[in-house]
Amino acid sequence: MQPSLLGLNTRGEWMPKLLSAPSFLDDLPISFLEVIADNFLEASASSTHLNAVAQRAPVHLHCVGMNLGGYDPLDMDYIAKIKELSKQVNARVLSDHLCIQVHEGVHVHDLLPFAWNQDSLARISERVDQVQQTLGRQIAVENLSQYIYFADSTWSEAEFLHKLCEKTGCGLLVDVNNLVVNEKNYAIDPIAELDIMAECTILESHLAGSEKVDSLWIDTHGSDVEPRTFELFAYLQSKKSEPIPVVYERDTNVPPLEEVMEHCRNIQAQLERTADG
Amino acid sequence: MVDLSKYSFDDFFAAITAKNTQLKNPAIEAYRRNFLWGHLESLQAQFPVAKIALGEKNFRFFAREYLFDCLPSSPSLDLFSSGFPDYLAHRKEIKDVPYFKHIATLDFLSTQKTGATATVPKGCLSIYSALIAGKFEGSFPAISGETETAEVQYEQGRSYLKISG
Repeated sequence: MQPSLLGLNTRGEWMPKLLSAPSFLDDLPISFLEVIADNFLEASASSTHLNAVAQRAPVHLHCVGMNLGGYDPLDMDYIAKIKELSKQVNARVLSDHLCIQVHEGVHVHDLLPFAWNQDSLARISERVDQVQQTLGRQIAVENLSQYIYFADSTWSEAEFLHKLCEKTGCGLLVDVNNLVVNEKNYAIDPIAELDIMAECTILESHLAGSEKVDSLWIDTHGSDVEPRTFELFAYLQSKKSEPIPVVYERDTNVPPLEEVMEHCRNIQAQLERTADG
Repeated sequence: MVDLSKYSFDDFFAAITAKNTQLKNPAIEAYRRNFLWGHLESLQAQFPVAKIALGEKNFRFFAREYLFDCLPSSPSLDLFSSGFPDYLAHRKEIKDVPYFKHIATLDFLSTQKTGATATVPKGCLSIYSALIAGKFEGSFPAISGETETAEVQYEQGRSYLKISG
């Protein structure tokens, strides 16, 4: 199998540097860029750079504001802006998280979990349906790192996501680091979760690092990708016949771009080893 | 694993967004910490000179109070921050130093770079410059009754505030 294509979750301030490189991405270990869509919804220097990037490489849009798991009405103004941006950059993958980001009008700017049960499946299926219909395209829904589990869950997260995919036709973004964090904190079995997720259409995977804060491992995106994460990604890939696009996320403890690219080279080497079996 | 069988999502959410909570466990703390620090970092980035003026410890105190008193009602962290200068003006702890509001206002103009204007007492402009240069010493003077004001605007494409009036 061909190795997975590797992309980078790209900070706005990196784009001018990437754009000014004579060969753009050709000499780099990444072949596409992912951005947090919410940072590019208003006209700015960053959005100009993003448009320039989109002329030269595939772009994935990763959202943090659809509030797919929420109880508040969907923000259709926001969805309209995402639709416009998605068309502008010809987004290859468009994703958001299986979480609650807004509740009773309060925006937490975080990803909050909820109970996985029939009631929430009914609520969220409707929301995902509406989002996909409005956008005119499939979205990928991402699994979470969680520090709390609700007693009225009747399914695992993977089971819930599987049912959501069946009902709505959405795809998955499998964040492997989140599975590792959940395994470390609460002994959630990542293999069992991946076995179920692998039955869905997987549009993308995230690799990142975590750190221990007080007594909990937190998905900080602030360190290297650890061996367990690569191991689990390889397991997931082994269950699919096509290479899964991979994005490296680095949001905290961010080193210079050159060092980030070194991390990407290491990840690319791992992905090639995975492809070789 | 935290057993939330006694609690609903509403209880969980309230525990994260309340100024003080009775729900104490590492997981709740993790979410509260994310909620607090995510917004604190945003305020620190948008009000760098106000942070110098107040001192880091005081700035964090007021930022925390602001967050829990004025929960974010917009997806935009910029909009969330826009109320901070006025919030400082109404805090009884610093009511004798109204400069803090104006310094925060100047910060917001500088970091937002939208070309919006604000009117501030002229007396705070030299204080703002001195704080940026690290040359401010002594205590903030009272500006009660100060009537001379200046209109300030971030000069688009440049890195300074344009002053008129």
